[in-house]
Amino acid sequence: MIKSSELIETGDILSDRPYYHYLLLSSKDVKPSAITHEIFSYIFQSLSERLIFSKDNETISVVTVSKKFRFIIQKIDTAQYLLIYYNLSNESIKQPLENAIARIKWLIFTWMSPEDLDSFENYSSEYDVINLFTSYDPYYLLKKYSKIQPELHIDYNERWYKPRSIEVNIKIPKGDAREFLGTILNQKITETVKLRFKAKFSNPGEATIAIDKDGKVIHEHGELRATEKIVSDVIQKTSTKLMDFSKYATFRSYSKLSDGSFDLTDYKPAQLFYYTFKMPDEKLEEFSVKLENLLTISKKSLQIYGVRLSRENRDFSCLTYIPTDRSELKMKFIHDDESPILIVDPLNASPLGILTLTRILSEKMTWSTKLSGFYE
Amino acid sequence: MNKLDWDDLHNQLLNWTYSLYRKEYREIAYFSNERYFGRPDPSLDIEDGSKRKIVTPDFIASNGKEIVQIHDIKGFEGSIHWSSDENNETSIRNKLKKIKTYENISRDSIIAFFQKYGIQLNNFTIELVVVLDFRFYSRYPEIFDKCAKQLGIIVWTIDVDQYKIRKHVGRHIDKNIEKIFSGKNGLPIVPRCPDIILMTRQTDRDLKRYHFTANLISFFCQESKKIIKFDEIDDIMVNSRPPKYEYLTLEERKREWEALLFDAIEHSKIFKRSSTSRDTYELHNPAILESPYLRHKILEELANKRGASR
Repeated sequence: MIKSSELIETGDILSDRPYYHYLLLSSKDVKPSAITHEIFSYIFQSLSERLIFSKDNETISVVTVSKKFRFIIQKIDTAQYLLIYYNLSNESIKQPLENAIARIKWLIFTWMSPEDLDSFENYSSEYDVINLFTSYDPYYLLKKYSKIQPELHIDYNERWYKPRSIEVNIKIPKGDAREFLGTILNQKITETVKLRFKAKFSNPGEATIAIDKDGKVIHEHGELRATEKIVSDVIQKTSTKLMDFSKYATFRSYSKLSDGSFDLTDYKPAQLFYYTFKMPDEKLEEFSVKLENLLTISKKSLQIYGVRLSRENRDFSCLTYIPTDRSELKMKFIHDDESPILIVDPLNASPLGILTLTRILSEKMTWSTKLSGFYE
Repeated sequence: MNKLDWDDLHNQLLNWTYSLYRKEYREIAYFSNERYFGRPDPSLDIEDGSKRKIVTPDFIASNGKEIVQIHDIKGFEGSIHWSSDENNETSIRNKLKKIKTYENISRDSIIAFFQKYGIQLNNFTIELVVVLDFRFYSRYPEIFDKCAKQLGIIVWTIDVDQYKIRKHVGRHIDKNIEKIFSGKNGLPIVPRCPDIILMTRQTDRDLKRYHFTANLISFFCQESKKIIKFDEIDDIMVNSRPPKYEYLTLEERKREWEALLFDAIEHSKIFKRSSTSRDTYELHNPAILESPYLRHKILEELANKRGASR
């Protein structure tokens, strides 16, 4: 757990300036300095200012000469957490930073699921703005119903199969949104993906804060220490989630022998787990085709890919790879009389790979995706 | 589309056998609980006159004292054509006979093998064990029993439907082991095939190619790299989860990577030699780093190749 004193040097605090906090997860055991190097060598090209680096154990701070920007990169707990936070009076650094992060495949943002975001309600009784978001994907329909020859699919990928989305912004207290919009619009679009609220603590006070599904916490104004409590909460939720996923992940340790061979000294077999989805029967066929496409062909923005191993009516099995942590997962989609399930055999997955998969299924398939535990 | 059977039966039986010797499987690690130590796919010598020959049994184990077990695992995937009973007997005998050559394995090479893991052996007796798929054994139990008795070997079967291991023929020297196997119904094994070891020397070439390429591609994607040096490949394969061929010596692994890389360059055209520096390889089509669809196509093609050869 981080302490607020570690976050900000007191002299620097200007509470009414935006402070961005990014919680990044690394699938490799790297030092903050290695990450700093990767990120800043990239940003540096788009910044005309010179950067000054200073190091203190596991914390790296980067300041521009004019002191307009300050970054602090810190390793939290184990190798798997990194916190980047920075303040800025000028938005120009935001995009280059996000581009740099997107470029490093083994570094990902944490994920705050709709439920996680909803739980921040406890801090505040009112919501100023909620962002409702839904997207649709015509890709599988085109691929399934069109007579396009397979060899032309690459071509068509570029031209037709683009992700499209609608974004709805409504300023309304969340409770009312559920009550009124839920009946008018499809229930699923009332899921939270970003929220902005005023957190109230007796100590240290109030702050206006925005959090999105990437777990980015933006301090807008008010008491900075109040925002830090929210940041700690994001870290806490992430730790809990990763701990939970590590139950299923495999673990192996090896010792190296004199002839260059490795001997398996400790081994934890992978545990099967499964996802459940809620959906009406008539959508099942469509869902199954879309799911297979997602797990094998996917989309540029997602980067996962794989091969189908078999298909029989609506049931299929596939082998899917996730570049983040080089996960390899064997999956089987089956449906019985009750609800469809996706059984996952994490051949080579780390908790981070499982987090990525869960996020993709939840965001691209249905909000009702639920990792339901061990599959016996 | 592709009718793939990824679960190579030989490898499944090997993993099930291996799990009996791994402490991690507590309740069913019958041999580990009796202080046996076993490792898959060893490379040992046979002294054949003045010539030395290398043999690679499927599994080897020892209790650290007087017993060394050598296992031959037979999946028999469509390898025998069945006609008249007499032919069956001959072909079964011929298949089982191979294990008898393991009696001639040089004692020194066995001692050296276990020494690597810190186990000192002096005088020991070799027990030969054939591990069969129960579905196959149960078609010709009499023939198998008869042949095995004549050869003086032990026969185990693994029942992949009921998740049982049974001993049919032969006696183990170790009384405790005999006692464990004495039940009529066989011993339970883990209900899902363990995944301790992914590839052995026996693994089908197309499957090796698939795993090798899939691993390199996921490495390239994770690192956003287009170029790789040959020396890096061993690190990538050993540090993937699960590692590939990690139990082989560095020397043997390198030979394996060379052959597989050659395949990936000459046949599947996934990589090419760099034009600027030696021992350096690059992606044939760097666009795959950005396109999951292209990666999918490559894997699908390799997978289909395996499907076709079976």
